[in-house]
This record gives sequence, structure tokens and C-alpha cells, in this order.
Amino acid sequence: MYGGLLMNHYYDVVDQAAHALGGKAAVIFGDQLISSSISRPDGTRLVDENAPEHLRHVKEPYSGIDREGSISYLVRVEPLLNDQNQSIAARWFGVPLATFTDIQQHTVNSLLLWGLVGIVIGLIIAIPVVERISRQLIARSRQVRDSAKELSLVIVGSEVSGDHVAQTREAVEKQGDLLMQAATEVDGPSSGAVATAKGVSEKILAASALNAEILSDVVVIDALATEMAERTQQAVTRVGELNEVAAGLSELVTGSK
Amino acid sequence: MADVILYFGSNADTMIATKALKDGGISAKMIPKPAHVTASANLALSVDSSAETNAIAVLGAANVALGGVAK
Repeated sequence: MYGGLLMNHYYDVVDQAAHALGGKAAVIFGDQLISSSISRPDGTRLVDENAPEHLRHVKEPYSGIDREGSISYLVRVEPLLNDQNQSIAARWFGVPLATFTDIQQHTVNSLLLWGLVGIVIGLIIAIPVVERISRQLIARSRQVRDSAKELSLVIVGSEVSGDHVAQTREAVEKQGDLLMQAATEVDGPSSGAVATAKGVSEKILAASALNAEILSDVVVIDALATEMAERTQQAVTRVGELNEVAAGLSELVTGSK
Repeated sequence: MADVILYFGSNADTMIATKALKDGGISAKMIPKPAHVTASANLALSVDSSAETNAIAVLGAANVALGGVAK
């Protein structure tokens, strides 16, 4: 008797509890289940069966897994106490473990499926973006490479021009020396007029040869100057492009101009 | 020994070649392109004929395209 009711084979309480909470309910008295909403495999109620050893005469609430009627349940078993707080029976409530494993499996499957869908959508969105950024980077890289080549050519051209001007200056100085020596020989005292004339003539010839070389150098310097003017102009354009590249890269990284 | 004339596709290449030869320790003088040489550049390089082989090797190593050699 509990609460004025004879609990043995009294199913209203367990059925109402099961209906209200879901799952299954039972009452354990002594060693046996005296009432339950649990079904056997053949469809009959699971009553008058021995309760598992560890659930008999429970004095403290128990939570864990229990197997009844060939089905595993996640159960909560609580003692029913009399006026003297003595455990006289136990209230058994369980939910089929398969329900939880189904929920768990369903959740994992959902996560995997939506994760996969997310990755696919992400890739669909990301691939064109990455492709566009890569194309821009390649174009910018080409601009930088061309600019670097152009600027290095200006530097090389400056060095080569400088060397050539130095060579020309040397030739001019040498020519000046020869002409000065010739003039000195004409003006100065000499042992013989014939020897003097021969020496002067040789120096003037050498100076004349140098003159031809200097003329050639002047043509080269003129060509170099023209070339360098063009290259410098191009270099200025390239520097402007490099500024654009820097701004473009900055835009790519920060997303703002 | 007589000089050989090295000529290139452009004046820019001629300048680069001059620098490459200088860095390679080969003496080269920049000259106006001789009339008998057919090239788009109007500058050429004059190199001592004994240094011709070395000069061509240096230009190859520096990746400078040689237009041709005139003697």
C-alpha cells in the first residue's frame, strides 16, 4: 500500500507517469517489479520479474543504465519512504537509451552534413574571390617586375654613360696635351728645324686621330643621352605605376582605398 | 690585334652588355654602330678580338641577347 493505494499490479500510476513524462515507469517492491509500463518483447507488461540486484532496496536515488524487457534504458530510481523515512519500495523511471543514441547520431549526422554543405558553399564563394585576388596579385607582380627592370636599366645606363664620359674626357685631355706639346715645340728653341717640324707633325697627326675618336664618343654620348632621356621618362611612369601597385595591394589587404 | 664589333637588338641591351662585360673584367668600348652592320640599335661594342670568346661567354651568362659579331 502506498498513498492509500495497493500498488501491486496497479498500472494507472505508472501509465500516467509515463504518459506525462515520456519514457517508461515502474515500481520496485522488495526484489520485484510489481507494476510497470515497460513492455516485454511479446507485448505483455513487464511485472513480477526480479529487479536487477543493484536496484533492489535502494536507499539513495540512482541514475544509470538498466536493461529491462530486452531494452536498455537510461534510468532514475528513487526510494519511496514511509513515515519513518525508511525505504519501502522504489520508483523507476527510464527512457530508452536508443532514444539518446538516435539523438546523438542525428546530431552528429546533422553537424557533418551542414558542415559539409558549409564547406561547399564556402568554397563556391571563396574560389572566385581567391582567383580574382590571385589574378590581381599576378598583374601587380608583373608591374613590379617590369618597373624594377626599367629602373635597373636607368641605373645601368647612368653608370655606362658616366664611364663613357670619363673616357671621352681622358681623350680630350690627351688631345690637349699633344696640341700643347706641338705648340711648345714650334715656339721653343730647337736643334734642328727639320726635327722640330717632324715632331710637330707627328703630334698633330696623333691629335687628329684622337679627334676622330672624340667625335665618335660624342656621337655615342648623344645616343646615350637620348636613350637615357627616354628611359628616365619611362622610369617616371613606372614609379607612378608602382604607386598604383602599392595602393592596389593596400586595397587588397585592408579592403579600402 | 684587331677589334671585333658586338652588336645587339637595342641600345638598352648595348648598355646592359657594357655593364656585364665591365663586371666580367672585359674591356669594351661603346661606339656608334658601323655602317656595314645591320642592327636596330645605333650603338655597338668594340672588343679586342682576343677577348671575343670570353665576352660572348660573359654575355651568355648575364643573359644578354647578342645580335651578332662583325669583324
